[in-house]
Amino acid sequence: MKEKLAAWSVVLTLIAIPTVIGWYCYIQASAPYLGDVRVFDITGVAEDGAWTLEKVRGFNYWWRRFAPMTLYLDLGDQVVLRLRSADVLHQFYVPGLNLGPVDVKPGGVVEVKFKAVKAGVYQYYCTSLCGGCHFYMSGWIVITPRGEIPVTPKPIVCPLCFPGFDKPPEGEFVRLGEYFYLKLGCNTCHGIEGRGGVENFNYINKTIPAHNTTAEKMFLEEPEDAEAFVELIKKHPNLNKLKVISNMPRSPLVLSRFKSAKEIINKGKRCARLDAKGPEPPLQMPAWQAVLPERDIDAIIIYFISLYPWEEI
Amino acid sequence: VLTCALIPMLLIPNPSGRGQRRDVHILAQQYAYTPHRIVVDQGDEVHIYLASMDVVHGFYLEGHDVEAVIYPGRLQFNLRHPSTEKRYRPAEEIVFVAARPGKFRYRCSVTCGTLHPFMLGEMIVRPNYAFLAGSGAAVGIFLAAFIILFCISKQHASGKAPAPTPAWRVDLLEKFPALNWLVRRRWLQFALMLPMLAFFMLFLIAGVLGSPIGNRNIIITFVWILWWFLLISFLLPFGGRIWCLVCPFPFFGEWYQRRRLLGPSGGSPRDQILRSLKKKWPLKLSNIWLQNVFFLILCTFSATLVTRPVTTAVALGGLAALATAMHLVYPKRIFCTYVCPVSGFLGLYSMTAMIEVRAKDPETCKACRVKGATVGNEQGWGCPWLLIPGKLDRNNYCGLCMECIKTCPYENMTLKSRPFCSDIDISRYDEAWKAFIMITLAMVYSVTLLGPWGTIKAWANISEVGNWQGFFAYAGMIWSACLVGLPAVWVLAAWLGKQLSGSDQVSTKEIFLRYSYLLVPLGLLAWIAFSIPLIMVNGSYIISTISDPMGWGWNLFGTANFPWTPLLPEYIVYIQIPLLLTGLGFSIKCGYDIAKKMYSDAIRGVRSLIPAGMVCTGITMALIRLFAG
Repeated sequence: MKEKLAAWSVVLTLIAIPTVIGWYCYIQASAPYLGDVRVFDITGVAEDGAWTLEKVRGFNYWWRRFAPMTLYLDLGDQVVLRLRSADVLHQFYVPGLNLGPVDVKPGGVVEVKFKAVKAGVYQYYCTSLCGGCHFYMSGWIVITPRGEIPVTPKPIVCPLCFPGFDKPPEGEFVRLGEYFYLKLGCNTCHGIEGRGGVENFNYINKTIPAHNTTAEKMFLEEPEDAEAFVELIKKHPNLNKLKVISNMPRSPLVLSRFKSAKEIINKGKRCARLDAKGPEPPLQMPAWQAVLPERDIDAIIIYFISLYPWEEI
Repeated sequence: VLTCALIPMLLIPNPSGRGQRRDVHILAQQYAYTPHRIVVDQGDEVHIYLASMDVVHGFYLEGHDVEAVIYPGRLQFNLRHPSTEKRYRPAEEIVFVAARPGKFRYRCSVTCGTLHPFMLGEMIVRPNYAFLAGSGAAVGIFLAAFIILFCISKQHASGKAPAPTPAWRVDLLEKFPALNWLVRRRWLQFALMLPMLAFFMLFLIAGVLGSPIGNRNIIITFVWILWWFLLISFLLPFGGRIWCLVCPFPFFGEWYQRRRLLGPSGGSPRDQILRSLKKKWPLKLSNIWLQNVFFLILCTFSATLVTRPVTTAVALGGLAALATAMHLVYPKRIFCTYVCPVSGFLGLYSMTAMIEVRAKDPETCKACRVKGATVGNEQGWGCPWLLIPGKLDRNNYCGLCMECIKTCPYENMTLKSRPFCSDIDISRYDEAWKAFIMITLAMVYSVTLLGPWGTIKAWANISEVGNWQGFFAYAGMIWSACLVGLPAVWVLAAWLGKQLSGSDQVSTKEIFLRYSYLLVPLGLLAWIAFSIPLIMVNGSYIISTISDPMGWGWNLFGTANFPWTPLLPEYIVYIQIPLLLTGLGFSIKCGYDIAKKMYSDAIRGVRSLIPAGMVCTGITMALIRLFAG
């Protein structure tokens, strides 16, 4: 009799634990929301640079590439986004819908509620640096009137993790500059080969500045001037401390532009708003001084100078 | 001891030029700070500037009421004084006067990845009295102990010493009738195992399906913070292998073997026959070498094991599966005795335990013809640990399952309380090496997990960093230090000991083996000292994961958002140092007891102990250096 009781209690335990967990999960998922609400569970994954709708579990986190979400909503939907982080602190921001930015700390749920009132394609971002793939941690929320076929924007996927992406040796400034430009994700905002043109919501200049015209902005008007100046940077680690360079035309201007370029990379820059009452532009120039030593910043500027399309002019 | 503790404190000159300004730029990166160590003088005005290189990190400075959140790519960071402020405000620097001397660690307070709980740096405010006094006291204990030992043994030699009083024992079952009633219940072990099984199941589910963040998953917080702390600090020294009584690993295997959960119903002798393939366990493996190797393997991957829920789930689930499988093949608890990696160190350190299962009167057992405790009878099973309970003289392989107490028809088996470190006999290589492995690992972990060195953490963190070269260097260092390094030092100490004793009565080999016990009390206390920061710093994760075991955002008891709150972390060293010194004291005391057994001339015995005692003192000082220096 006692023996049977014991055996049953074991069986009961084995069944009860998963059942209780499952049941609690179920009531958790639906209970707190009244009415016709669409609930989405979204998890931020730093390693893949993705806000994903997939379930991030203890067992799949380590091997699975999580797909960035494209959220399709119908016009008029009441929406609750339940945001989580699977690793580090992320920020969720949809400037077009005036949502956020909210801090999403690991180990908690942040709820963002809104009504889809205007049709369109809205870009969402992670706005707190979260690792190597941070600048790709972005995607789309598509709101379509009921019955219409939604557009399908291309998901933004991090292409960084390809093999052979090794750091070039010291001294090869152009290649080093390109390496940092890609590795730190500068290209995601400033465009491939510094061509710029990436839109920044509510930014006073609309699109993010290009860098292939750096030579011109620095008053290096001839290829020879540019070459000479690049050689100077290579030779002098503290070039920005100089005031004048002999036998270079307009050298104070060149040096002053060089200094301010370095300053922006070092200290970052807040982007001014187009509409002062509108949301903050999602893309901001980060301060790189903690990450990049002065010499690496020199390399990046040399890379920018090298991008100038001399032949076309 | 006091003198030795005070001398370095007095010798150290007071820092000159008080009130110097110190500017420190600290850069946070997964999972270390650069610089990892800052040294200032008492009274200095410290200005700290923070930046992060990769992800959002925190900066919690022990004992200074400072907590910051560092966002990468921003010039300012967020700062608050947690005792008075809830909200953070932007700041460009942290300014304070280093008023208190000592060691203060700065820790990451924002989950920043797998090794986040171990991301820290250290600030030393000179003069570091605790470290100086601790190191001095270690030397003091060494000197004092040997002076006392020489005096005692001199008295022995001249016949003046009082007859040694036998160590005390208290028969707990006689003293506490309720306990006597309880341990004789057939349902006792089952009733203890069942809740453990339930927890185990919950942990496995949490590990596989729950959050990948270790400090938000119950399997990590309960196993590696709560269970580990309780096991090493309380269960082992006070209860010996009491964990083996409740461990769920062999639950299903034993159920299969016995066909019953509670026990023999009496009568039929068939009830006593265990079901299994009845294979014989190879004699060559009838020692704890397998346990040593398995434990080392687990420990090599510790950085992954203790930070990733799924790894812990796989490791624990795998062990449970292996235990069950082995119960199908081999009768009794072969898995527990020879394979389980936890069992190995439980056995070793249970020698120190203040509890033992022994025969009340060994003569009764010798005269006994029934041998109920060994083979079992209608009252209970024969010893599942392959022991002859009547002959028990050490705790090592006794799992405290209480079956022999139930079965003995003469009620001759009992549970006794006894002084700390009562079993002092090691005479096997496997056990000696277990002692070497355990104390080396206590030191290794104090470097890898509690130390500020990011490179070592990156090597150990193979599953995330993937630096195989570094990992092999790290693993190679662990294995060679455990298996070769410390044993080699010990051989040298044993050889020197033999030379010093000036006697051929005892061989180097025997000195080597017998004195390896010195590392048992010291090792246990080193592990306790290592585990104290785990619970005091990260114990608050237990509170939050109780409410949110899976890390899915539940809030069962309203504590899910309990913030990470270290408990008086700046005082941890003041607990660790006395613990280590106690360990050293017990080591030398036990060494003397062993020496007395080995040598007929006590003075020769004490002399032979000197080198081993010095090694123990060195280990103690190394640990004090790591914890407090």
